[in-house]
Amino acid sequence: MPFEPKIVGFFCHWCTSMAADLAGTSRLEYPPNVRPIRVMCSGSVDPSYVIKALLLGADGVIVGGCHPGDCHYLTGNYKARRRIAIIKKIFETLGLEHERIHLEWISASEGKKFADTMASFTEKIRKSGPNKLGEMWEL
Amino acid sequence: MTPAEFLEKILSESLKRDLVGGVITLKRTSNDAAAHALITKVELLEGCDPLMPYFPGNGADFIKTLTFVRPPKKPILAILRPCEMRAVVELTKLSQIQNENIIYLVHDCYGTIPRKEIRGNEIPDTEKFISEARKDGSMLRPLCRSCDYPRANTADIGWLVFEDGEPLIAYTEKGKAFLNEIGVEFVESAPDKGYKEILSKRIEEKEKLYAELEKSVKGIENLAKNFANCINCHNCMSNCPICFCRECFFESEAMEFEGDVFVELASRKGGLRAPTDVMLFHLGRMSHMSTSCVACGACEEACPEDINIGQIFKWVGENTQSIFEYKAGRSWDEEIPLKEFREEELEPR
Repeated sequence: MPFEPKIVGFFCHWCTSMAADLAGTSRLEYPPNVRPIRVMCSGSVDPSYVIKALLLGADGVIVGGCHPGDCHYLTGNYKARRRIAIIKKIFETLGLEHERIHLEWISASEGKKFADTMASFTEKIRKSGPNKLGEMWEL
Repeated sequence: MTPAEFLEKILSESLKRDLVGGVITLKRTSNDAAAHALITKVELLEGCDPLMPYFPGNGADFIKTLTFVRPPKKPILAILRPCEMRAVVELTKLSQIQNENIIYLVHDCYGTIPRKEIRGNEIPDTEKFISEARKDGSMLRPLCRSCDYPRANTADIGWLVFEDGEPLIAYTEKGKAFLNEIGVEFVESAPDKGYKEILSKRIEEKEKLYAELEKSVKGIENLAKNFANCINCHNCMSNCPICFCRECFFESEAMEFEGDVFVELASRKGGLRAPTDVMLFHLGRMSHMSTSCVACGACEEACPEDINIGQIFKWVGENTQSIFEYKAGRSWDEEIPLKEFREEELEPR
């Protein structure tokens, strides 16, 4: 069976989740590999959610938030940006695959960008192959 | 100022003349153990020695205990190591310490010896220890051996024991006023000949340490092997001065599930290790606090399984802090990375 990546998406309620709705109502096609989880703000995504998803075998994690300056709660996305940078640096230092973590700004009106991002991230992860952490019972 | 003079002229004198409400310093509790102690009675200064090569845990924790609800009304003189001072700076930024009535006196630090090696023996004589540590740091804790901040200028007063004559220096007005009142000499600017000598050795050791970690810890298999004997006791977290949360996320209800959730998790990988979420705990803790890690190594000293957790946190912390050109505890003015942000930074992500 060919490898189908499992991707976990944490999407902010106000922008990226709206964009997902728009992509749907606009009948845009994108791969079904992303399991969306709606959160109120990208700033509410604790780094440990991202880490846990990867440790349990998600092949990729994508966090979607409002564009800088557009956060419904004013500054949540700026905080998310710092947190994602920190997780990626930890993974890089420890030799884990930080490329499996992605942060994207997608506004409520960008249904097309949502579909395109999901497609391109899925393809990127498909090329990376399965996440080894998902096979290691001892972690 | 020699250690004997320090004890006499600073600690003893400040208590005798009632200049402070008490002094915090290291005091022997037995032949092979010592603790931080708040001393109010001159007679109890017996057995006190701030330079002894013993690290009972990060003293910043005690400063937090002392000042969290309301700082003492009368000034307290706290003698700390540079790593403890860095933790004080971080905890102050995290609103856990109130500094109003604490006078910080921080000495240059030659380092400390692992507690496990002292247990059952004796804490080595300080003078003998220092003359050995100047030549060769192999007996030191790995984090002391590779410490790149063995002096702290964030304190009120510095005791420059790396330099000839071991002078005192006042870094703040508060420190100056105290030294003037007690009537001891101090220098205006810090000589750094001895400091630079020690620092270059430490940095050399640090690079060796990181090269070793790259080989032994980096990579999924290595990482799993490195934490294979972790018993998830969370001692590292409870001894960490920076981990101040009353309730830790990793000990909260967020970690509790119905039985079938665990069965499902096991069936995905074919098995599930108990205790669960060991790696999540360590990686998660790194993501929560490595940007404020002062590399004191209290975690490593507390680990019953001898995992090199402090070395890993120092290494990871230096990297995560470098994203923001931050160094935990270096300065009072820099905001901690997780409390602030810039509108334009970190792009492209």
